[in-house]
Amino acid sequence: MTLLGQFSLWVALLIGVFGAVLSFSGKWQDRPDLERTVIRSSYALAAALLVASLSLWKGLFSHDFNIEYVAAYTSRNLPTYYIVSAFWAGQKGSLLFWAVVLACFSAVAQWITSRRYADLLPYVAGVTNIVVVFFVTVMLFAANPFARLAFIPEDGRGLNPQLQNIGMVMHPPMLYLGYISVTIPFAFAIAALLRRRLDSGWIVAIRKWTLVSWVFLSIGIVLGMWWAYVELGWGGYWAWDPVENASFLPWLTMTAFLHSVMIQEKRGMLKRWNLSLIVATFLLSIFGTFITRSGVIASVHSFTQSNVGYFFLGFLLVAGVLSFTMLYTRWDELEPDAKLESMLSREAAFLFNNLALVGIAFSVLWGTLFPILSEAVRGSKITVGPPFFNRVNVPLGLFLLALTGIGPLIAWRKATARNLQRQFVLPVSFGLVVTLALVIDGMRDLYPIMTIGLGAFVLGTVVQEFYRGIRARRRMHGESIPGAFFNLIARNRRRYGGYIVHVGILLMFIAFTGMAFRVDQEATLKPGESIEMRSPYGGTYKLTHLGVSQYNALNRVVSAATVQVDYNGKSLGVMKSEKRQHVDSFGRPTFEPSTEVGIRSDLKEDLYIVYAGSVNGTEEAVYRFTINPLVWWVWFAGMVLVVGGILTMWPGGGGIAETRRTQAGYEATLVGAENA
Amino acid sequence: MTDTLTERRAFLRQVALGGLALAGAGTLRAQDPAQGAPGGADAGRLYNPNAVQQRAPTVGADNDAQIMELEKTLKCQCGCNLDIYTCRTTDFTCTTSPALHREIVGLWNDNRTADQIREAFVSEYGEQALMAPKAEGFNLAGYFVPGILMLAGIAILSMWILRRQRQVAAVPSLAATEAIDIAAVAGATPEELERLRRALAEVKD
Repeated sequence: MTLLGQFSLWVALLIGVFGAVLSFSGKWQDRPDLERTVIRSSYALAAALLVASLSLWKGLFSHDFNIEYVAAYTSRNLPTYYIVSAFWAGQKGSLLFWAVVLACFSAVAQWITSRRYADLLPYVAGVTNIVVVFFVTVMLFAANPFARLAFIPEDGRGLNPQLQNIGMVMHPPMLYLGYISVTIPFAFAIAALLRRRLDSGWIVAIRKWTLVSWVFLSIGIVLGMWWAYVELGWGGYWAWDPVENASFLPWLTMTAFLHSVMIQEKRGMLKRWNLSLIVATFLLSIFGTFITRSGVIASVHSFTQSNVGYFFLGFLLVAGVLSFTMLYTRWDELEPDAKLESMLSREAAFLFNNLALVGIAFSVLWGTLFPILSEAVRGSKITVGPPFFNRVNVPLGLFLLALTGIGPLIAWRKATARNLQRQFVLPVSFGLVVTLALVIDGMRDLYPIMTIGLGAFVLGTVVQEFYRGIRARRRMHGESIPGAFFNLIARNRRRYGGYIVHVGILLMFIAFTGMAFRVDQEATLKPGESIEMRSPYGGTYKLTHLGVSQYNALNRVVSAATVQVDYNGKSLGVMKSEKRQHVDSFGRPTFEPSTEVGIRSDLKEDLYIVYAGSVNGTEEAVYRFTINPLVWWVWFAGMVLVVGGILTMWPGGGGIAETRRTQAGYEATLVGAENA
Repeated sequence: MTDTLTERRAFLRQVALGGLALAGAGTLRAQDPAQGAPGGADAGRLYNPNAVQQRAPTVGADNDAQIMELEKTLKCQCGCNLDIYTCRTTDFTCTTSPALHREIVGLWNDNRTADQIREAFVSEYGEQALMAPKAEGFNLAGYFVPGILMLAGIAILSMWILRRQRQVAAVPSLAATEAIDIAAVAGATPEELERLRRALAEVKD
C-alpha cells in the first residue's frame, strides 16, 4: 500500500501542476474544453489524494510497522478510534490530511458553486491546486508519510497518552478544517482580482465558505481549550501559547471580515479592506502552520522541529507578496460605490469593530513574535507568557466587547439622537445596574467588574432586539411568542444568528473572569485523611482520600486515586484521578506515566483533582485540588457560539439580486425619510 | 424460530456470565494486596509502584499563596515554556521545576522579597527567566506598541470618517435635488418597494 500511496502523491503533484499552469496561462478563456479540463483537475487531485489517504489508513490499521509513521504513532494495542486519529497525530500524516481535505473542499467548491461565477472557477481551481501542490511537495521532499524503516519493529511506539483523548480525536481535524477551508474564499478573492471582476458579486460566493471556516475554526479552538483543560492537568484552558495564538489569529481576521463584508453587501464599500482581510486570513492560517511545525518559537505543543518550517516560511512570503501585489495593481478599480456618511452609523461602528479585531490580532501576533524581535535587536532572549498577553489584550478585549453591543444598536447610514436614545437607554441601564450590584456585593476586581458589566450591556442589546422583533411579528402576523421567536430567527437567520453568536461571546468573556477567582491547594493524604477547601462562593469542600487502586486496561496500567467529596457537610460523591502507565502489546512501558484529572462541574464552579503521585510507593497520595469558577460556562458559550454560526450560514436567502436590491435600498432616501 | 431465539438467548447469557466471572477474577487478582506485598504486612504499598510518579510529601511552602504567585511569574528552565508553578503541579516527570521551587522557598525563607527573588533568577538564568519581560528599555515597545497603534488607529479612523461626513454633508442631498426613481435604481417592482416601506416602518417601530 505504501507504493500505491507514494505513487498517488506523485500523480497528485503532476495533476496539480498541470491544472495550475493551465489555469494561470489563461488559455482556457476561449476554449470551453480546456476550461472543463482545469476544473476537472480539481476532482482528479482530490481522487489521487483520497487514494493516498486510504493507503496510509490501510497501513495504520494493518499495523504495518515498516512504515515509519505507523511505527511512530500506533501500537498493536492502540484502540481503534485512536488509530483513526493517528492519521493526523503526527507531522507527516497531518500534512496529508491537510492536502486531502483541501483537495476535497476544492472539488466541492467547483461542484456546488453557481454557474454565475463560471468565469472565476478555473482561476479558483488554479489557486487551490497551487496550495495542494505545495503540501504534496513538502510531503514528497521533506516529510513523507510513506517513508519506510530499514527493519520491521515488532510493535509500534503507540500514540502519546495526551493525544489519547476524545478531544484530541476531534480538535485537530476541526481546527484543520477551519484553516484549510479558508483557502476557498482566498482562491475566490484571487480569482476576482485576476478576472478584474471587482464588484460585490463574488463576495456572495465566498461569504458562506468564510462562515464554514469560521464555524470549524471556532469548534476547533473551543475543543482545543476543552482538551487542554481535561487532559493536560494544569487546570486552565488558555495559556497564550504560540500554537494557541496561531489558531486565534485567523479567527480574529475572519470575524472582522464577517462584519465588514456586511458593509460591502449593503453599501458597496470596503472592497479593498475586505480583500485584504481575506488574504490576511489565509496567510495567517499558513503562518499558524509555520509556527506549529518550524520550532522557531518555543511552544508546549508544537510538532517536532524540522526543516518543514522553511517550506512554509517560503510559501508564506511568496503567497503574501503575490497576493498584495495583485491587490495593489487593482487598487483603483476597487473604488467604493458609496461614501460613509456619519460617525453615528452602523458602518462606522463596524469599522471600529474591525479596528478592534485587527488590533487584537496584531497585538497577539506582536506578542508571539516579540521574543524573536527582541533577540534580533538586543541579542538577549526573553519570554512572553500569559502575564504579558493578559496585560496587553484584556483592555483591547473589553473595547471589543463594548463594540459588540454598540454596533447592532446604531442605524445604517446615519443615526439620529432620538434613535440613539431609544436604542441605548435600556441596555446601558441594565449594564450599569449589574455593575453597581457587583460593587455593592463586594467585588473589587476591576477587570471582572468591567467584563460582567459590559456583558450585561451586550445581553441587554440582544434581548432588546429579540423583544422588538417578536413584538413586531406578533403585531403584524398575530403569532404566539414561541412562534414569533422561531419565525424571527428563521426569516432573518443572518441577523439573529449573529446576535446568538454575540451571546456566546459575552458568555465566554464572563466565564473567563472566573479564572481570577481560582483557588489551588496541594495536599499529601494517607487513606482516610482529609483537607478542607474554601470555595470562592463561600462554601467549604471536605476532600477525603479513600485510597489508590491499580488495574490493567487495554494498553495501560491504571493507578486510580479516589476522593470522597463533601460540600458544606453534604456528600457530593466520589471522584477519581488516574495515573496511566501506557504499555505496548508486550507490556513494555512506552511513555512516562500520564495523568487523568478528575473533574466535577456545575454551573458555579469546577472541582478539579489531580493525582500527582505517591509517597514511597504507598497509597499515601499527593494531590493538587483546584476550584475553578464558571468553567462550565466556557463550554456552554462555545456551543452557543457555534449554534449561532450555523444558524447564520444555514442555506437560504442571499444572492446577487438581493445584494443589489439591498444596496439600492440603503442608497435611496425614501420620500419623507430625509427629515426623520 | 422460538427455539432458535431461546438458544441464542441462552448462549448470550452464558457468554455474559462467563465474561463477568473472568472480569471479576481479573479485578480480584489486581486488587489482592498479598500479590503486591509479600506477607501482606504493608497493605498500603502499591501493587505496581513504578506505574506512578514518586513524590515528596507536600510541605507548607507548597501552598503559600505568595510563593505560588511568585512562581507564576518565573519560567521553568526545563524547556517546557511553562511557569514554575504550573510545571511543578502539572508535569510530574519534570525534575527541574521542583528544584527551582526549592530554590525559591530557600530564598523566601532567607527573607528575600519577591522582586529580589526575581532579580536573583534573572542573574542566574537571564532575562528569559521572567514569564513577561520587565517594562523597561526596548521591552516597552512590546507593551505599548499595540496600544499606541490602536489609539492611532482610532484617531485616524475617526478623522477619516469625520472628513467623509463633511464631504457628504457638503453635497446636496440627492432626494432634495431630484426625485429618485427607486424602481429604476434597484430594479425593483412597485410591490417590492411597498414591502420595503413596510419593512422600514417595522424597523422604525
